Amino acid sequence: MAKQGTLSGITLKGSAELVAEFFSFGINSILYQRGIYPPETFTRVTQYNLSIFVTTDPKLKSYLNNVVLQLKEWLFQCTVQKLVVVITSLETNEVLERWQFDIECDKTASENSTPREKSIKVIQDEIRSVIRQITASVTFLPLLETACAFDLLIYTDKDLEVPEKWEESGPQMVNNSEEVRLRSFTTTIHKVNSMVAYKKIDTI
Amino acid sequence: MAEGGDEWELCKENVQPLKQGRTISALQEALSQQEGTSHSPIHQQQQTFETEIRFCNGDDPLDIWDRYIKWTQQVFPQGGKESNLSTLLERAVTAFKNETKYFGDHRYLSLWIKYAEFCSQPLDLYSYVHSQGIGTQLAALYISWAEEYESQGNVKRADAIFQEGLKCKAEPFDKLQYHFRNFQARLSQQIMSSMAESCSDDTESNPDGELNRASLAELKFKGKKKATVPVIRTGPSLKSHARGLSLQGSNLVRNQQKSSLPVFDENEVVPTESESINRESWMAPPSIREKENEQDPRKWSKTKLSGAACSATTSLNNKTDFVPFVEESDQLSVITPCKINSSVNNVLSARKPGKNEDLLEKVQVEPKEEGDIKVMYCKQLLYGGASEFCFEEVRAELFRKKAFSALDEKNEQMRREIEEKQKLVQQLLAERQLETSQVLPERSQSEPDCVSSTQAPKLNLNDQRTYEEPEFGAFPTPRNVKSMDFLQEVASCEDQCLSDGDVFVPPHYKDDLVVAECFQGGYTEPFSRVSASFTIFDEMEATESKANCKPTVSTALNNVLKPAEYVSSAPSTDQANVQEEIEHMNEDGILSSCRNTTFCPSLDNTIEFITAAKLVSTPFCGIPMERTNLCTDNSVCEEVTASYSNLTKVATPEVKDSEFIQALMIKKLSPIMEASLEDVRLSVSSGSSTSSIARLSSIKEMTVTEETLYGEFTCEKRSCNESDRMPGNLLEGSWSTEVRNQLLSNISTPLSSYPGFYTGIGKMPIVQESCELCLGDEVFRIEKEVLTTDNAKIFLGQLKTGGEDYRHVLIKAEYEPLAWDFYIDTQIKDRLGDDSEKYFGDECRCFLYKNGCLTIYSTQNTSRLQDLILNRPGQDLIAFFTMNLLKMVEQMHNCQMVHGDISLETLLVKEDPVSAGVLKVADFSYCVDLTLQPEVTCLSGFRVIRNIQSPDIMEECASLYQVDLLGIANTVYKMLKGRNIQILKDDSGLNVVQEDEEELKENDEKSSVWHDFFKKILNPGTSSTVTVLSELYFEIESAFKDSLLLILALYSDYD
Repeated sequence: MAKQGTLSGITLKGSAELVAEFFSFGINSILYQRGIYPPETFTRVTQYNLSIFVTTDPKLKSYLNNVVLQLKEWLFQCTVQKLVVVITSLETNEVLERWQFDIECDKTASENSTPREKSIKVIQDEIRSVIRQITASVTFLPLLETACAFDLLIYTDKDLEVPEKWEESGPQMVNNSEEVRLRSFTTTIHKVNSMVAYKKIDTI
Repeated sequence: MAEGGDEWELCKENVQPLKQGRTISALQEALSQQEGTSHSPIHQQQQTFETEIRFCNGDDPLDIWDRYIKWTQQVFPQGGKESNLSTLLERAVTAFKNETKYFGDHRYLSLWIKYAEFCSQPLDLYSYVHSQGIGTQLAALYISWAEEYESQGNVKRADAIFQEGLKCKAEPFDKLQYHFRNFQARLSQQIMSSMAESCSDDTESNPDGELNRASLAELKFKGKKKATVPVIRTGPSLKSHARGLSLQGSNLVRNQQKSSLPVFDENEVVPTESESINRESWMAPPSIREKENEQDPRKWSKTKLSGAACSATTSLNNKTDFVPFVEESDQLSVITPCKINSSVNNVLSARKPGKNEDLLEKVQVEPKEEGDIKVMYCKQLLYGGASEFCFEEVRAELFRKKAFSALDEKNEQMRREIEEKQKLVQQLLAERQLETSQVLPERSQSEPDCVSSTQAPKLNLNDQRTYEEPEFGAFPTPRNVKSMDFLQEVASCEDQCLSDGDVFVPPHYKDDLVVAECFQGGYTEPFSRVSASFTIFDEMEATESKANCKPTVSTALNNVLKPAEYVSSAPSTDQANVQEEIEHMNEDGILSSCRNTTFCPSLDNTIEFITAAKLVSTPFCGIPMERTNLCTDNSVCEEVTASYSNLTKVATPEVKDSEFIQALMIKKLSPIMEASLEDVRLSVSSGSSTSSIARLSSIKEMTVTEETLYGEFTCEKRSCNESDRMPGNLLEGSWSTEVRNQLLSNISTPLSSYPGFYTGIGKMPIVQESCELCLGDEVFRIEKEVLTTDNAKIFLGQLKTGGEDYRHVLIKAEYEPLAWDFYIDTQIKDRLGDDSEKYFGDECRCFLYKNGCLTIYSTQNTSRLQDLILNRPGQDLIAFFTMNLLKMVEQMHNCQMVHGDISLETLLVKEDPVSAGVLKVADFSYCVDLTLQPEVTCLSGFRVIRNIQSPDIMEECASLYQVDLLGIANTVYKMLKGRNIQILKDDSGLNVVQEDEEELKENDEKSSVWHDFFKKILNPGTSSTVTVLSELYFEIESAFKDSLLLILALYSDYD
């Protein structure tokens, strides 16, 4: 949490780390909240002055770590534009929910440019409010009754070469969706906007 | 960074999550609503639903309830009292509990399931539902039921329910199977984990080393009377919820499972195929039924149990086999079991107990029918929905329904009548030659079979006479009564929509159509008809003797009142009678006709007030309206609406008055208006100057004239005010359509009397490039667009005149129904006589429609001047054009016409080498006829002025003719230099700004000529423009004399 606490400003590298960290916790939260994985496989940790549930399943953990690592690299290169968590029903393969995080990168920031002035605390507050919103989304999100799986999609710049463990995919939009914008946060180098699209299910 | 729409997050604690999710918009709205506003849209919507419930006649009342409840759930996210949800659900399920047709309907079942959430003993409800046969074929029932069992820990029963459902092959079957599988998975997981736990006996399951007390977990209460909670609050004391986000769930389940291990023979039997369960499940349905027949001796307050209906089962009965068992094993505390009356639960409850229990009761109990009491009021209507209606609301709804159905009927009736009459009219037209006659229009309710007996209206089939008379039945008196009733009914229908005006109005009255089209109110018909009557009436007089007007007070008054009453029947022959009868009508008329109608039902429509205002206020202002030219056109006489009342342009007071009434029908008019300068123009009559039917859409300023009623005439000359306000739009000020229509209506010879003037029926046909335009039997091929002005487009086209012969035509399509160009053209021709041959000699025809005007010139001028000079022609050519231009404008000025828009774009050139170079004006939109409007002095509206944009011009120009001079100057300058002229004032007067000295140095010999030319044209001084123009002409001619012949030859090269 306070890894960059000693630095006086935000560098590109630091910003990338912050954002990647956010995604790591954010994705875990989503998985927990939406019940993609059984709740007992999650454990509580404290981050951003919140208690967030992160998975204990080793396979999932390593998968997420890889993604985050890759993401960090891309963030550093400023080549990533969006990260999307797609929740699909196992049985019907239908996209039920779609969490989209738009990343705006300030391309003028480079490795050696001077660090920007923004307090880490402020950034963390912002991140906290986003994660809180994710939790609060239960007010309007429909219950996911069926067993679901999740996918991670990352939108990058066009000419980026696809790394080994990744493959190309379609956008996987939700049919007939309701969309809700969530809060955003910025590190002055990277800005992340969040929104969720869900499918309104009729009562049985 | 909080965003605007964040209420959902801020109020998330107040929002009950729904299984199906919520629409975020409904949520936002609901959360941002202020409390307690009684007229909020939510309440209104609620009211609508309630009304719908009571008054729906459809086949599917369940649908309304269903939608209502779904809406309520979305709109009241907190649930809570406001939403009335429990009452709603109760009513809904009760309403249909005997309707077997809904028993298989998933909507009905979902209502029950939702209702179950409000019940304290949902299991009872489910078993009741099942016993009643509601939803037994639907998977949802079993799923929810089993869920309920599972949540109470009774997995055995849950399993039994699933089996039952599977056995019945409930739909959707795969969903049932899916849920069942999940349930089994959960079960097996519990078993396994509990097995794992039991292997490691003493080790506590919790990795932390001890059982944690979970916060906010539901505890099972013990104790019969008082529900007390055991001291040890972990483990089995917790009510388990199999689904959910609680960490403690896993602990719970495991412990639960432990307790129910003895029940399950789990080591042998995997729950999927347990016969034991089967056995039990077999028992379950019969037991329900059995229990249904049993009369439970428990006393239910106030209600009698009828044998067949209710299942008075309680959970106790259901659990007889298991409950004691479970209880014993779970009982960790030392509290002795005592009778639990869960309805008496005093623990931390501020609410009175026993409420929830009654929900199921209420539904189960049949309403008792006492034979000796009969309800004499509309009880169902009042109490039918979720909330109570009051009598007035019920009445309002009934009234609305009736009104709408009456309206529909009327519409139908009118339609039928119109069709009939159309046929008849066609017949009549075909039969006879009609001539002008005096006919009074009457309400066309009745068959027009009496037409023959009255003067037949004259219809122009092949001619353009102006007068067309409506075809009227002389309607015998009794019909009038009916008509009047009809009128009242019509007037009383609030929402009479005449959007489809054409249909609604009988065909006899074109002005009705016009008017009806414009209005959405229901007041037009009577007015227009009536006024039409007077029009005709006066018209006869007028044509015979000019302006033979006797504006009597009574007549005028009667005109006022006309809207309310009908002209009584005296057939049209007898003018005097009519007069008399009219005179009888007095103030009562207006009031009596509104007997049963709200005086001003539509808030916007203040016509009645205005009409009444006439009676009471003086001076009293009429409102000018535009005329309608209603002449039949040979090309459109196939249309049924050929016979119309005619409003002439003859300015007679009666005409004015009657039309004035029509003016009153304009919505959003106040009686207080300004008088316009046009009022001065009342040449013919003593007073008013208005005579046309109003058009709502383009009326921006209404000018008002004094009514002749009082013989006074207080029009003021406010020309400056009005014209000064010209914002440069063609529609404003002196060029406004209304103003022009007034003027046109004042002229001595009406436009319609000129050959070539036609009135088109209906809407103006759309004229576009490369399209064909059909007018009657002529087909024009539109080639290209020549010019676009503010509200008109001018095209060049060709008319096929037989064989391979083509005539070029210039078509101006104007989007205002104003035949101004035609007027100007005819005036010029009239005034110039033979001189007009050269420049204005083209044959001109005009078709006037309701929404526009088509003016067609047969012309040889097919090239735009603009195009011809694209290549910067030589000075000789320019001089040549200039001379023609000068001549032409001189002629116009000679007959007191100011063109107003001389520019390259508006001039067309004849290609024919014989009369080469002859220019023609394409567009008279800006033309001002100074005989008609001598007061127009303000120049700012002219396009020419706008184009030139020199501030000094305005001060310098003394007369309107100078506009044309400026226009010529600009045109010539543009031809010479290719850009707009710039003018500055200096000591010697207005001067052209010389931008480029070098330019002048070319063609030195001629530049001085031009220099003088400009000087002169810009500074005419006090001499008349005609003089100036002719002088200039001679100067140019003499200067370029030698080259003129050459020019002609050259000109043909410039084609």
